[in-house]
Amino acid sequence: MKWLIWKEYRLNRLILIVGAVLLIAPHAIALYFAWRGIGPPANGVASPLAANLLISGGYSLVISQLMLAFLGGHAIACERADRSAEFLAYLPVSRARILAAKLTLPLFWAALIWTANLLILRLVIAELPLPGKRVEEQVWLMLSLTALTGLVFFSVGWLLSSMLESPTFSICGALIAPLLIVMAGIPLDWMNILHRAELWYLFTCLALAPACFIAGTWYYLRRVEP
Amino acid sequence: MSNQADNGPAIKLAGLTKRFGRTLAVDKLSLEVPRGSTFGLIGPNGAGKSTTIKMLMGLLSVSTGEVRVLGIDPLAEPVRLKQRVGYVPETHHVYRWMRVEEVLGFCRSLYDTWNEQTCREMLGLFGLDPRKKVKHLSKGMLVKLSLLLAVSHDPELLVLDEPMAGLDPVAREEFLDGVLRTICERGQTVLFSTHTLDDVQRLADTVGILYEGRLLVHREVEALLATTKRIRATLVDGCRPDSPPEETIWQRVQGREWLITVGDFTEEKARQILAQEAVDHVEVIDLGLEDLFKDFVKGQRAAS
Repeated sequence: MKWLIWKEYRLNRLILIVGAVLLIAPHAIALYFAWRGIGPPANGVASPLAANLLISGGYSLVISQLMLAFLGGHAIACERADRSAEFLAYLPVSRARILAAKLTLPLFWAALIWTANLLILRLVIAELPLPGKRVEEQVWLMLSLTALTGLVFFSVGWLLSSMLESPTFSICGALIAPLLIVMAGIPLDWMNILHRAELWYLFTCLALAPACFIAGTWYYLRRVEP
Repeated sequence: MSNQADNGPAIKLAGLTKRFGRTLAVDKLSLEVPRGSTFGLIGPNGAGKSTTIKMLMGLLSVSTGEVRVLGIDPLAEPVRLKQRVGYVPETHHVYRWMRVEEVLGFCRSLYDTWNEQTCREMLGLFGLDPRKKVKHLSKGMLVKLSLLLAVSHDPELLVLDEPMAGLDPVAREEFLDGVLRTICERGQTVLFSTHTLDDVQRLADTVGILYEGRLLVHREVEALLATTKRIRATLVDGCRPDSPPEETIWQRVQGREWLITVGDFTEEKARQILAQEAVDHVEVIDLGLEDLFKDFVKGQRAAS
């Protein structure tokens, strides 16, 4: 298993390096701005550092979700594109083990992003003057929507990756999936069927993400060809 | 059940069929390859050799029919099968970004019966540099790496799909003499497909000729060569020959020359031809595997 995970790391190394930069860079910029005294109005209550980190944490979280689309879309199709999947197919390793190794990397990546950013946001929010329960609800709603977008990115990428030979198409498909969900909600909104658009998005993502992940996994496990 | 599987043929195909849409790639192929034998599978391009081999290895679904390799169904138990079979594909898709030593480490971690001694010996025999990246290996070296990976876990069956394709004559000779012969002499079962019929004649115990997905011939090489002959009959001026004898594989009349390739040759068949009024005299010619193969293919093309 160690070698399979190592192989996955090597296949996705570029994505991980770019992802790490996107994860760390906003915070680095926020720290630099705070050090230079540049930042949004802190209302005299919060420090410039806290105000900057709130923005960088949110930005880092959102941008890092894009990496999940890349990891999902790249997971299986990349080995089909260069036909190394054929080499793997004649080695004595089960599809389930291959998938487990392929899942380890995005799971680790998602855990890292969320742990780091939630910790930062938790510390920062405690310092900010956020009056009332409504704001807290809004923060949690935004975090939920971000997390679900990441899940949709990954699971749609995973499904397309298991079916296609091109990681580019898989990644593009994953990236436009949330947009399609939003667009599908627009006619419902016009017809006054939707009362809260964010709930439409939330529940659609909640249904779509596991469905795509299960379908992609099932397709890969059932498929005889590499 | 297990004993039966272990004592049975190394490969057993029964009515194996593969369709790609409307195209019939393999047509009700039935075949048995005994354990310890070397089987050469030959056929023109598009005959279905690689498709058959991929189905044997569980890399391609089967439309209908049954496949058993070492008593194992490749689609039901692929991992168990691949632990016991070594495979060298037609094209080599080893991870190009890995170093040779990394490829070896990767494969070593997956095989239960990896034999480090065999691996080291073959690494030395082939002159492969463990530090070299796969993308920097020549075509010949890549074939050797594939072969090394296929044999280092001491497989019971070795399946080689046109392993010498693209190799220069020197590399081919090295491969045949230094490698394949050693493997054949180890008593492992070997199935290989090739376009180079000399190789089959040199190495194989039995040969199968595949044409448009059908197995035309499946016989021991020596027996096939001993019983398949070409008869060159000289015709009397202006006369046409009667029907050819039974078991005629291919025939051609050109001027006064009538060439007939017959299977299960007997002197009686030559006498039957000579007895025809149109025939002046006959000559029996031994065939090499290459000529024999060409005649089988030409005969099939003429029939269809």
